Amino acid sequence: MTRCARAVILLAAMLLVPNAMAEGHGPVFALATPTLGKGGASSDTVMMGLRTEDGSAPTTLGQMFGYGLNEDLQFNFRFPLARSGRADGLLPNMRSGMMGAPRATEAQLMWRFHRRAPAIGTRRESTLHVGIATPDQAQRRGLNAGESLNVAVATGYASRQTYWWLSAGAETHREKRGDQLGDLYYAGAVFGYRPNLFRRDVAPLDFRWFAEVVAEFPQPDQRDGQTLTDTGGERLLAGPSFLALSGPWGLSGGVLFPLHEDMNAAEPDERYRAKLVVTYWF
Amino acid sequence: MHMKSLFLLLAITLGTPLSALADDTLWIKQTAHGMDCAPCAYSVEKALAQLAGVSAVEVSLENGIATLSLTAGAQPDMAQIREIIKRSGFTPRAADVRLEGRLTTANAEHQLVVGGQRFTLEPTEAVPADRLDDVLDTRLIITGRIPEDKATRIEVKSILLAGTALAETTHYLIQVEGLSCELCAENVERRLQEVEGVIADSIDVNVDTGEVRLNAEAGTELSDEQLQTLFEKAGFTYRGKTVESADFEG
Repeated sequence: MTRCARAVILLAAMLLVPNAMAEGHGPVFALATPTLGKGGASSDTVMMGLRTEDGSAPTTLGQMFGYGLNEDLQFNFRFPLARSGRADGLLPNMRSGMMGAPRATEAQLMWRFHRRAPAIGTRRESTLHVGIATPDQAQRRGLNAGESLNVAVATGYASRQTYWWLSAGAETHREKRGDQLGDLYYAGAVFGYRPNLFRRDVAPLDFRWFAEVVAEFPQPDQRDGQTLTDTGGERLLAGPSFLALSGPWGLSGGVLFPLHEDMNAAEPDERYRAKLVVTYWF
Repeated sequence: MHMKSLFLLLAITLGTPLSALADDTLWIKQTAHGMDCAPCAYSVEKALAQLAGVSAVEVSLENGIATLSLTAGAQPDMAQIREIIKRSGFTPRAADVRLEGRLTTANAEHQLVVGGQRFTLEPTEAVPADRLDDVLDTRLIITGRIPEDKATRIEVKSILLAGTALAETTHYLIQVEGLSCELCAENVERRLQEVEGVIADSIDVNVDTGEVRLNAEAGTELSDEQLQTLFEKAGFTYRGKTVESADFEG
C-alpha cells in the first residue's frame, strides 16, 4: 500500500468517525488510568508503524470506541481497519498502549478501582485493564493464532502540571491446533508535563508532552507443543510523545527507540516504533 | 463616595425590583477536585449546561470551579449538580452560591425557598439569626457557602433585598508604593480579582496617589501578610491598609 493510500485511509476513517476521543490522557505507548465519565463515549483512530532491522515497516490502522458504564468503569472495543507492510502481516509480539493488541479485535474493561482527588486539579488513581482479543488472521508468525487474554494494572498521578503512570501487564494466547503464540509480559513508565503556557484557563489549546519507557518480554512461541527457541526475547524502548487537545478533539503521537534489545533469531530488532492518534470526546 | 455607589443608592431608593437585580447575578460556584485537563472541563460544562435554569457554565481548571450562571426563577438542585460532577469522574467539594428566594421558617430553622427547592440557612457572625428574623417572608438574594456534605444547607455570608442591604461589606483603602502606570494598575487589579471575597467590580487603583480601594464580602478578611505577599509578587511595596464598613454591597 502506498503512503498516499495510507493517508487516504486514515483521513477517511477520521471523517467516518467524527466523534473520536483520546487514548486515556495522552501516553501513546504505555497505559494510563483515566476512564470516561458515566455515559461518556469516545473514539480513537490510531495509526501505528514500526521499522525493523530487516527493513520492513508494517503499519496498522485501527479504531477504538470507548463508553463509560459509570465514572470508574469503561468498556472499549477495538478493531483493525487496515494494514500494510510485510505481506505475511507479521508484527512483533507487542502491545500498543491503550489500543491493545495490534492486528486484533479486542473487547476490554477498564475498572478504576482506586481514586482520590486531594486537591484542585489533582488525582491519584489506579486502574485494572482486562481484555480479550481475537487476531485478524488465522495464522501469525506461521502459527495458528488463538484468542488472547490481557490483564494489566496501571497506577499514577494526574495534575495540572505533571503526570506520571506506572503499569504492568501480561497477555496470554490460547492454544490453537497445537500451536500457541508466546505470552507477552510488559511494563510501562510515563512522565508527563504541561508547560505553563497551557495551564491557563483561556489557553485555546491544552498541550502536554510525555517521556515514555516501555519494556516487553515476549515469551517463545510453541508449535505442536514444542517451544520454538528462536522466538521471544526482551526489549526496552523509550521516547517522547505529546497530546494536544482543543475542545473535544485531541491529537497525540510519539516515537519510541530501542534502548536495549535481546531478541532471539526469528524476532527482528526494531529501529523505531511510531504512533499517531486522532481522538474525540462525544 | 464612588459614582458606582451613588448609582446603586439611587437604584435602591427608587425601589429597583429584586428580580431585575438578580438577572445577571445569580450563580453557583461549585468546587470540584481532580479536573486536570481540557476534556475534563468540556465534559463537565456540557453536562451542567443541560440543567434547567442554567444560562451558562464556565469551568476553570486552574481554580477547580464550575460556575453556573442562573436565570431568574431557576430552581438549582445542588445534589444533582454534584452528582453530575461525580459521574464525570471528579470529586465535588463545597460550593459558593448567590441565590434568590423567599425567606421563611420551618422546624425552627430559617429556610430560603427557591422555586421548589428549600435551603436551610445557617446564621453566621456576618448574618446572625436575628437579622434573618427581621426579613422573614420577603424575597432575598443570599450569598453563602454550601458545605461539601450538605447539599441543602447554606452558611450565609450576606443577604440583600430590595431597598435594604443587611450585611455590610468591608471597604479597604490600601497604600501601595511603586505604582507608576496603567499597566501597574491592571496588574494589581487582576491579582486582587483572584482573591476570594474581593468584589471584583469594586477595585479602584489610583496610580497617582498610590491608593487601592476595594470592597470585600462580609466575612472576608484581608490580612497584612496576604496583601504584602500579593503586592510583592506584583512588584510593588505594601504600605498598610485602612478598613471600614460600607453600607451596601457593590
